[in-house]
Amino acid sequence: MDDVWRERLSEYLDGELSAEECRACERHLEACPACAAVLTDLRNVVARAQRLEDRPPVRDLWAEVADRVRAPAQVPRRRRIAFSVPQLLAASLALIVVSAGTAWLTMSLGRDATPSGAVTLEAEQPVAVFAALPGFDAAVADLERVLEERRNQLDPATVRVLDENLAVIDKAIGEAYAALVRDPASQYLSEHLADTMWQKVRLLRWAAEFAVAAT
Amino acid sequence: MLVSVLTAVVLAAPAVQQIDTVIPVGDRARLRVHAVSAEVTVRMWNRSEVRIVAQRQGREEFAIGGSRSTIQVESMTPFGTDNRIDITAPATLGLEIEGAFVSADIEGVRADVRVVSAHGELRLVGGAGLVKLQTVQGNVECRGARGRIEVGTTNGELSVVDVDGAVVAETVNGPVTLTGIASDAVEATSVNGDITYRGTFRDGGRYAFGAHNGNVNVFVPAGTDADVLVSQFSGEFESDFPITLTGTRSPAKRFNFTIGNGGARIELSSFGGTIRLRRP
Repeated sequence: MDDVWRERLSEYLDGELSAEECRACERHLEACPACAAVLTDLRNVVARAQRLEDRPPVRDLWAEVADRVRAPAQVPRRRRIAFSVPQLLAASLALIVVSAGTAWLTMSLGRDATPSGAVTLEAEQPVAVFAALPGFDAAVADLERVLEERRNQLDPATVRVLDENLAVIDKAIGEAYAALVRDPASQYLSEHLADTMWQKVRLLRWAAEFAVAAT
Repeated sequence: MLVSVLTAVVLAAPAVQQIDTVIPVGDRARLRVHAVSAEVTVRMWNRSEVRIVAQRQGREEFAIGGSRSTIQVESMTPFGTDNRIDITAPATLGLEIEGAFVSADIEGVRADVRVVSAHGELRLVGGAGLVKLQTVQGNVECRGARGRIEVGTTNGELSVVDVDGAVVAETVNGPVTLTGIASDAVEATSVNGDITYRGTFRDGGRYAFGAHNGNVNVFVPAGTDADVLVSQFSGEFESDFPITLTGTRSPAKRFNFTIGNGGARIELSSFGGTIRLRRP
């Protein structure tokens, strides 16, 4: 029963539980100091991430970003995976940092409606999607490391499917990255690359939670 | 000697124990099933009771416990062993089913449903409130749900039919098909797979369909008022709606236009596939 609620604390924090589940979770937290401590840590992570949204505007980072864009494209190497709760928590920290950065990035992009029948190509503005890249690397590295440690908790067939599909996502990331290097002013490519990276993190996170639940 | 050998064989054969239990439950009760490997079938009846029928083989752990508000079923039958768990329950029973090799076939529930599996086919007819179906390897079908619907698979097909409520559908390798959707918030993504949508576009609603290597096919009902944003890197754009392209193109294409008077927001993106905007 304890493990059931521990693995759902992130859902509780994100407001994704039903009202009845919230009440049940809160009753459990009152009786379980360990889960209460994990929840406190997660709340602290979220608070730190929210403070990161007060970073300077995008354009101040462009010079650094442009250098990264011009660097040779590097497709993130796929690594093996496994989890422990503390490591999952650490990964969640990096994960939430990435998500906060990505959300901030997405919200800063504006779009204009056009009159019916008329199509206007939007003026492309440089976007510092790679401002989120350091956080992404850290999040993926943490998740992959934790999953590697819990590899034996997952059956080989599941690991194989995860590996194959992480390779699919990595290939998509590489293609998007290469396209962005050729067209760094493309708002769409910046967003698409960020979305695809985020999809990798979501898959790793899901696999990590499943591995933890399997222990 | 022969009798001794036969006796030894009989004793070594795993004992099959039939489990058939009926448990009374209160209103808004929940059922949690955790299994290593099982085909779980859930059907409804008009009784304030939950019936659980299963077979326990040998010494595998199988436990049923809980209270009138929460029933828990644990099955440790390993993969490779035929294991069915048939459940009959009131329609208002919330369901949580999870496991490594778990397939679920649920019909008629009118409550929250959460099914998480690593390998398994997930099928739900019904569901109300929070509906979440997720697997790594397998197809997912959700039909007739109401509320907030999240469906996902890594390797498989997603099919969402005749639902009413917010929809999030995500796959890595496989198509996403959304049909008969009544919603003001739909998000469908696939890395390698086509996305097809047939449903409403409500004023003020947001509908986002994105693929990396997949086509995006969206059917727009007559009378729809929408602002459409199209984003592509390569691939074609086809539209049954007349549009006039102005301005210059960058290697990556992004343009927007309005259908009717605008109102709903439709975002169509595909890195390398074709985007099609069709009349039904």
